[in-house]
Amino acid sequence: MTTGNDPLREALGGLADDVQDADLYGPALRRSRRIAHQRAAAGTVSALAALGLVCGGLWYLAPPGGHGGSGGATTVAEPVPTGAAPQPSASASPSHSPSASATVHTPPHREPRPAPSGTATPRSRSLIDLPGKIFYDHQGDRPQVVRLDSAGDPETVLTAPHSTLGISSDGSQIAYVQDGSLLVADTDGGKPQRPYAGKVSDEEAPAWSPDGSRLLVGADDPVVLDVADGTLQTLPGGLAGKHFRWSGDGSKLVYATDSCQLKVAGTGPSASASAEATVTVPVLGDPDQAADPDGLDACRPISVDATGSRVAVPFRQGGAGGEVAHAVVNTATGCADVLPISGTVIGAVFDARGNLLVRAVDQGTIKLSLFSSDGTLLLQAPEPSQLRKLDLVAYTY
Amino acid sequence: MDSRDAEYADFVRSQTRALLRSAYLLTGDQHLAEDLVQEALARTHRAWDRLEHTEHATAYARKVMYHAQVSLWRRRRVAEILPGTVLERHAGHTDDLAEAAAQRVMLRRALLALSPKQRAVVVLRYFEDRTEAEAAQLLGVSVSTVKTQCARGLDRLRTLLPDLRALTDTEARR
Repeated sequence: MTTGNDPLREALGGLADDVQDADLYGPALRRSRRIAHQRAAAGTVSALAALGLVCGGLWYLAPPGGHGGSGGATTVAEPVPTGAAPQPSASASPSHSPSASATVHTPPHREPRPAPSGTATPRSRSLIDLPGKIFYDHQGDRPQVVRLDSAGDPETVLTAPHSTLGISSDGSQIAYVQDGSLLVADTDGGKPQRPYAGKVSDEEAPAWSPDGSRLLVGADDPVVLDVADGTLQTLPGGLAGKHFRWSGDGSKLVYATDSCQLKVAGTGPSASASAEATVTVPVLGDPDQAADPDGLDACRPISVDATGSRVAVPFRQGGAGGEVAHAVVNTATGCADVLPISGTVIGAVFDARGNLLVRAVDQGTIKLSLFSSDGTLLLQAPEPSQLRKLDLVAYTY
Repeated sequence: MDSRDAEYADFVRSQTRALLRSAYLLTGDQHLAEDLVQEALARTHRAWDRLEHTEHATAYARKVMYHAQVSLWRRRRVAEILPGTVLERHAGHTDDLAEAAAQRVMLRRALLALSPKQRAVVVLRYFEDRTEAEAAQLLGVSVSTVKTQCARGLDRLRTLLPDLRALTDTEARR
């Protein structure tokens, strides 16, 4: 493919020659130790909170020696309550938490408050009581989409190669992208349909509207496709972004910008000038380092609760290296919810009714925890072991 | 130093120069390039036990570096450049060395005017000689994205560097 004599290559090679050699062994090891320290500290916090608490970009772990500024040490700073959606409730004894000694410093201008620490007691510990359906994805040589319901036996619903996919709110339909083509199929079988002849993004998962009649897909510009008749609509106000997700009531769209900020836009008639009417979720992806000192990026929202007040999103801490933590973020404050479960969260998804399914690893076991929209822990049960290497993609009612 | 540490030390010594060269094209600055490579090497150290072969570690470090370069762009971790649409040739240089130096300055500034993804793709394709598929895999994007970003990057370079028009026209026809 290359000749080695091309002028552009030679020009780039000449410019690269300007860099001076440097011994980076020592600095790399020191940076590696700092990363390890951050991970260990985050792990300690997550043992209590399951999710790293990220609030206002102003929390940080106590440095060695315990000095943490004028804010003073406390347990965990509580996210600013918005009242938009109830937080998951904890009912177990906080004193049993292994991380009660973890110190997270609150910023000087905020009062330390007790965290909703401890773990909640589930109403059920069996998948037999799972009210909805969980969908997993596996890509690679043998792609498959798997459904898990109360029967407990994972069932393959798609084996076609795909780059991204979206599951409808009731779990009956799957939309997936294959070589830039959008295909829709029933999850109970049947020949896939191609409702849109154009090319769509193979990096953005198609997003079903809550009623299952429309799909928001990434193309040259994001468009809304009527699945039944194939007509297209542009987004109100020419919204520009990626990975659009509907709230369960259809009133809001949450999406990411190129700089990995999250935005919330209304979808109703009153949101006609939507580009201007959008609200930016604080902290995550904020280009101002004072607002986001840890460099938290939220590039790909996964799902949104019923009202658009919370979004499940993986974020990267420190910007580089793809260190991903899964979080449920309050869209008004940018704070991550503290969930009353133990372990490290490796996935979280909302259904359209606002129920939240959390996937967490605790002492080597993957557990599924289902919270209702009012925060009640409905169910907590081990995940079938054969799903261990698959990715959680959706929970539907 | 145990064998694991020794292997890592060898890896760092053998790879740092190559990583720095790419990082310099990505950042346009010696110190930022060192920061970028340091981050990549540190992340590689954290993953060292999982990386069975040196070639895996090399690929991993490079992947971390490119991802870091793209994600850190919004924090302005690139050398500052002055605004301008066309980078004028420096006047008064008469000898070849000075001319070459001036061209490097202009190329560096033009690269920094590209978006981070465009710059990453151009460096991967035309400095590291990666195929489109390899560049896509390394950046975690589709081949079509690589093609698009590459075309836009070359267009931008042609605009900024009229002297490079001929050569980038040649590249675009590949």
